[in-house]
Amino acid sequence: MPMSKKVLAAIIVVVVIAVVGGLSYALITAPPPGPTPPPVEKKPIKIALLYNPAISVLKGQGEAAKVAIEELQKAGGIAGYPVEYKEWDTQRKVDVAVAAYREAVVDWGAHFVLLEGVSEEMLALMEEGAKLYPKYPHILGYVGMAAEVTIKVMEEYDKYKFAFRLFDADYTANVLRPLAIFWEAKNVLKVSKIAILIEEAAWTLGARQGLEMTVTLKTPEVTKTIRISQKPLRELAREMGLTVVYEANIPVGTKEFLPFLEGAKAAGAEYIFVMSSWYTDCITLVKQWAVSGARDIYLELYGGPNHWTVFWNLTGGAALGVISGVFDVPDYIPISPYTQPFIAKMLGRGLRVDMSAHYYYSAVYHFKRAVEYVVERGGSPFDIDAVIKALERVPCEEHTLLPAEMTILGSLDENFHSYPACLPPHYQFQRDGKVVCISGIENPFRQVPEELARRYFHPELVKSPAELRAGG
Amino acid sequence: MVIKIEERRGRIIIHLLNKSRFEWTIEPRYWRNPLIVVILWILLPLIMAYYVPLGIVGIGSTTLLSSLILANVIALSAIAHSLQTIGTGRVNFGPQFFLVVGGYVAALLNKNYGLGSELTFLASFAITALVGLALSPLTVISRGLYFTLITLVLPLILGELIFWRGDIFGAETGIPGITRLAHTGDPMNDLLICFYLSLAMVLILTVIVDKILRSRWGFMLGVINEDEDVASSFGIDTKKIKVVTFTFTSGIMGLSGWFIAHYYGAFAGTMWLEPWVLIFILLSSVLGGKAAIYGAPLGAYFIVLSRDILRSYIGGGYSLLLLYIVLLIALYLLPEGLWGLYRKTRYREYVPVIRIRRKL
Repeated sequence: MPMSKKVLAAIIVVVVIAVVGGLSYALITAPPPGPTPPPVEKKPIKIALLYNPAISVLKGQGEAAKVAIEELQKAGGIAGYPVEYKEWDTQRKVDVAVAAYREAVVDWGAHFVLLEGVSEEMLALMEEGAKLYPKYPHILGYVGMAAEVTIKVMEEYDKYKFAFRLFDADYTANVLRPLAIFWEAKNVLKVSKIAILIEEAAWTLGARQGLEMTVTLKTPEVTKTIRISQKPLRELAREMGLTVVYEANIPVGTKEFLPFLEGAKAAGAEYIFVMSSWYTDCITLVKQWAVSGARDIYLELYGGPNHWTVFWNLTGGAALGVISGVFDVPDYIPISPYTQPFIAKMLGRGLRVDMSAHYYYSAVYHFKRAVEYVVERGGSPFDIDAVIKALERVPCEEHTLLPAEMTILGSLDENFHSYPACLPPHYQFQRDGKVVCISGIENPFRQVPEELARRYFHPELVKSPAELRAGG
Repeated sequence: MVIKIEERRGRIIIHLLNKSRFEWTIEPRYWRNPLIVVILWILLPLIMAYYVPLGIVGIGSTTLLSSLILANVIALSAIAHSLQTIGTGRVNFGPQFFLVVGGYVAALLNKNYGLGSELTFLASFAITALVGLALSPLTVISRGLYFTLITLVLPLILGELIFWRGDIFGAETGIPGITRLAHTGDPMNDLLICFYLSLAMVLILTVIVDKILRSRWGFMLGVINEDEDVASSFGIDTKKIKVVTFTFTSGIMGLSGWFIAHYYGAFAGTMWLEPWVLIFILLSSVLGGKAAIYGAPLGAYFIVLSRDILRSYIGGGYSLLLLYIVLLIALYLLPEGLWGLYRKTRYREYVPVIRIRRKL
C-alpha cells in the first residue's frame, strides 16, 4: 500500500527534528575547545629489585632499596617522572636470578635493576645483560664483593658499561679498611701482638695471598693501564707496627672455631681480627670465643650479623666486648641528613641495617641524581647511555655512609664503576648490649668529618673483655 | 641398490646400503601419541615466546622459556640418572657432582685455552666420563647405603676443592666470561635457540636410552637391576656392564654442566652443588615415573614450572615451602609417578618402559 503524503511528511519532519536536536545536544554537551590539550601522563621510570626475601639479611637490604623508592614516590617521582617499582624473588639461585632479570628487563621494561644477591649471581647477570642491553637499555646495580665485577667493566666497557658495583672494590677496601682497623688496634686498644683469621672465600684471596695485576681501563674517551696491588693482611699489620703471632684460614661453613681461638691464645695474641662475611657463622664463633681460653683477648669481626645491634641478642650476650662496625645504631654518625632517618625508618619496620643496606638505600638516590642531571640538561631519563655517563660523573649527596665527594662512580682508577673504600667507625658491644663508638679521632684513615668525630667518637670508653665481664 | 623399502608384518622396513635397517610400524597407535607429544614439545616455546602475554600464568614469556630450558637441563641429568639406577642397581646421590665437573671442564677450557663450545662439548663429556670411569669401581665394591653415602660425599669434596683452589675454580664467585651458546642480537631468539638445543639433547638422549633399553644390553641392565647375583649366575658380566653404564651416564650428566656454563656465560660450581639440584634431579626421576625414561622430562617440567609459577604468585619464603609440600603430596599420591597416570589410562598402548621391579 502506497504511503500517504501526510505520513511521509510527518516522518521527514521527525527525522529532521531528531537530527537537528541530536546535533544541538552534542554541541551543547561537548567540552569547549581549550587552548591546551589535556595533560599527557609522563612515562614512568621503572626500577626492578631482584632479591631473596626469605633470607633475613637479603630481605633487609632489599627493603632498604624499597624505602628509598617509596620516598621518591611520595616526593612525586624523579624530575617529574613517576617511579614504578616491581620486585622479583631470586631464591639466591643463578638460574632464577637470570630468569627474573630477563623478565624485569624484557617483559616489564625496567630502566634500573638492583640485584641483592651474591657475586655469582651478579656475574651471570652481567653476561646476560651484555646480551640484553643493545635492545633493552637499562642499568644494573649491585652491592657486594667480587673484583671481577669491576675489572670486567674496566676491560670491556662497551660490553658491560651498564653494570655498576655500588659498593667498594674489594682490592682497595680490603687494604684500607684493615689498615684503619689495625691503627685502632694499636692506638686505641694498645695491643702489639695480633692473630688473623681469614674466611677462605674468593673475596679474601688477596688478603690471604696478596694480589698483583694490571688492568687496562678502556672507555671511549680513555685508555689507561692501572696497576692493582693488594698486600696480604699479615704484611699490612706489620707495616702498622703490629706483630702477627698467629694466622689461619677459616673454611667456609665451619662451626668449629675453638682450635683457631685456642691457637691464637697459645701464640700469645692480644687481639684477634676475623676477616669474616655472611659466609662465616659469626654467632657461633662469638659464643665459642666467650667460653674459650681466648675470651680475654679482644675479638674484632669484619662482616656478618655483627653489623646489627641485635647481634647482642643473637649471641645471648656472648658478644660482650666484641668490636665491629655496627650500622643500625639509632644515633649513627650523620654522614648525610639521610643517615639517621633511614636507620629509624628501617628499625621502625622491624628491619636491621648492615653496611650493604645503607648502600642499597643510597644506590636508589644515586640513580635519582643521575636522572635529574640528564633531565636538567634537556635530556631524556630514558636515554640510558646519558644516565650511565651521569652516574659516572654526579656525586650522591644523600649517601648515608660516604661523604658526597667520595661518591663518584667514574673515577679513572681501580674503583671505576665502584665507590672508593668506606672506612666506617668501630663500635664495641658493652654491658646490657650497649654499643659504643670507640674509634680514635686521630685515626689517619678517618672519613668522618672532624667535627662529627669529636662529637661521636669515644675511644676512652673502650674496655677489655675481662673488664666488661667483671662488671666494668 | 642404495635404499630398499619393503612392507612386512605391518611394518615398513627401509634397508640402507644393505647395511643398516630402519623399521616403522604402520599401525598409528604405536607412534601417534609420542609424535603428538614431540610436536607439542617443539611448538610449546614458540607459543610461549610469541603468544603468551605477561601475566597469563603469572610469569612472563622470557621466564617461561628460561624455566623450560632449565627443565631440559634437569631432564638430561635425570634421564642419565634413571639409566644409571637401572644399570647399576644403585641410587647415586651425587649427580650434581658430575654436572659440576662437566661445567668446570667447559668453563676452564673455554676461558684458559679459548676452546669453542663444540670442542668443550666433547671435552666435557670425555673428561666427566673419565671421572666416572675412575669412580666406577664404587659400583662394584659398594652397594646399598654405603654406595649412597659415598656418592653423597662426592659433591662435598668437590665443594671444598673449589674453595681450596679458588685461584683455579674461582671459589664462590666462579668463572665468568664463558662464550655464550647463542648471540644473535635478539635475546628472545637466543632463548629459543638455547631451548631447542637443550631439547635436542634431551630428545637424542631419550632415543639413545630407549634403544639401549630395548636392546639385549637393556635386558641385561634390567636383570642387574632386579638381582645382581641372579644376573651373575646367568653369566652376565655385571662388573663390565655397571662400569660402562656408570661411565656413560656420568658423561651425560657432565653435558648438563657444559650446557649451563655456555648458556649462562658464567659458572659457579658452588651454586650447582647445592642440595636443590640433587633433589630436582632425583625427584624428576621418581616423580616423573620411577626411573621410567619418558617420565624424567615430565617430572623435570612439572617441578621447574611449579617452582617458577609458585614463586611468581606467592614469592618470599613461602613459595619454596609450598613447592616441596606439593612435591611431597604428589609423591604420596602418585606411586607410579606422572608417567604412571598416562600408563594407567592407556595400558594397552605399546610404550617401552622397564617392566621389572627396581630397587629404588
